[in-house]
Amino acid sequence: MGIQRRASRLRPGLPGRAFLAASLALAASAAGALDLGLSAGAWSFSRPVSAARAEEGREIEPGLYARAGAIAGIASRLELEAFAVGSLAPAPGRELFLGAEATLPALGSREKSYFNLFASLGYLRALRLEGGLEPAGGYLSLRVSPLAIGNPSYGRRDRIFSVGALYELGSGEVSLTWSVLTFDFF
Amino acid sequence: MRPASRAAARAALAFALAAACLAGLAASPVQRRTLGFSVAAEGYGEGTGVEAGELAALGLVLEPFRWPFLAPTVSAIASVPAFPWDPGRSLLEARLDLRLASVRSGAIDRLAREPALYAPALSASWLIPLGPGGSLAAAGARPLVLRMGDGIYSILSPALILDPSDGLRPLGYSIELFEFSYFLF
Repeated sequence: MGIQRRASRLRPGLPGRAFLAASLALAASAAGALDLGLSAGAWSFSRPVSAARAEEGREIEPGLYARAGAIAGIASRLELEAFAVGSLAPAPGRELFLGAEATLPALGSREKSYFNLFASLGYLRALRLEGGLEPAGGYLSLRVSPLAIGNPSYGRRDRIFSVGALYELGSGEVSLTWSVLTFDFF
Repeated sequence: MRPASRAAARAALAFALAAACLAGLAASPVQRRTLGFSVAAEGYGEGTGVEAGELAALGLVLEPFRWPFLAPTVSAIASVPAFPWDPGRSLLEARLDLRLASVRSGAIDRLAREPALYAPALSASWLIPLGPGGSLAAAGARPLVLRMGDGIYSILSPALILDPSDGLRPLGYSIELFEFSYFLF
């Protein structure tokens, strides 16, 4: 019993686990097993698809959004990305989304193909910043980036004209996303 | 510090800055062309009267002088609400940019992966909405600008939107997420 209690005290909490995961990722990167990158770009949401969602305060405001993320390429045909999307206008920071997605290149290895097409499957969590940080819905996301120029070996990559669909968990409503340009730095 | 020494220090600083700018210009492949086009994504804040949403902007850019600083750039821009698409609420804009400096450094070259100049600017605009609402004026800063070859790349450029019919009363803000200009002629 005492040993169990001591073991549970030693088990790391969420920050500890995040630190452990980051350390492992860095160690793997140092060993050449994966490449890491940063991304930044534009992002837009379509208008709410139903009045019901707007009445419940779960609509996504139209506006100018920016997206920033961290990329980990874990295989030649798979990369993972954690990202945040925040509104810049009409009110900066009023809407915030945290998300993660897995991306598959369709036209060849992500390290070697200079031109590529990417399909991404992910999850977004909305957080509303009006009067505190409140969860405001979860979404499954499917995105296609029809033109990606560059690769991790080159050190730069641009993903152009990405379009996506968001499926709202709970209501089952579908809305669209659009990103004219995303820069990736490796 | 005595006034004479202060004046000498200021003169030395101004000379060093000017020399750095001119040296950067001389060492960089600044564009040789004067007329081009620009693409941008921008949004307007509450109170400006411009509908919320992402606006896609397409413009003509003219840069007649190749001075390292205080060089004017003139643009004629049409901004269309792109997502959601609503061309009836487009904006026409005339903009004047004034380059503040041209700075070259190895760190910037490494970031851009080619020879580049850091060239922040100030801007002044006149905006005519095609939809409801009167003309607007804007005063902005372009703090993050890189010039590479025949292109100008700027990100996160804010502006204060003013009402010219009410003594340039501030109405709100706008922000340009990015603008890329390419000189063709």
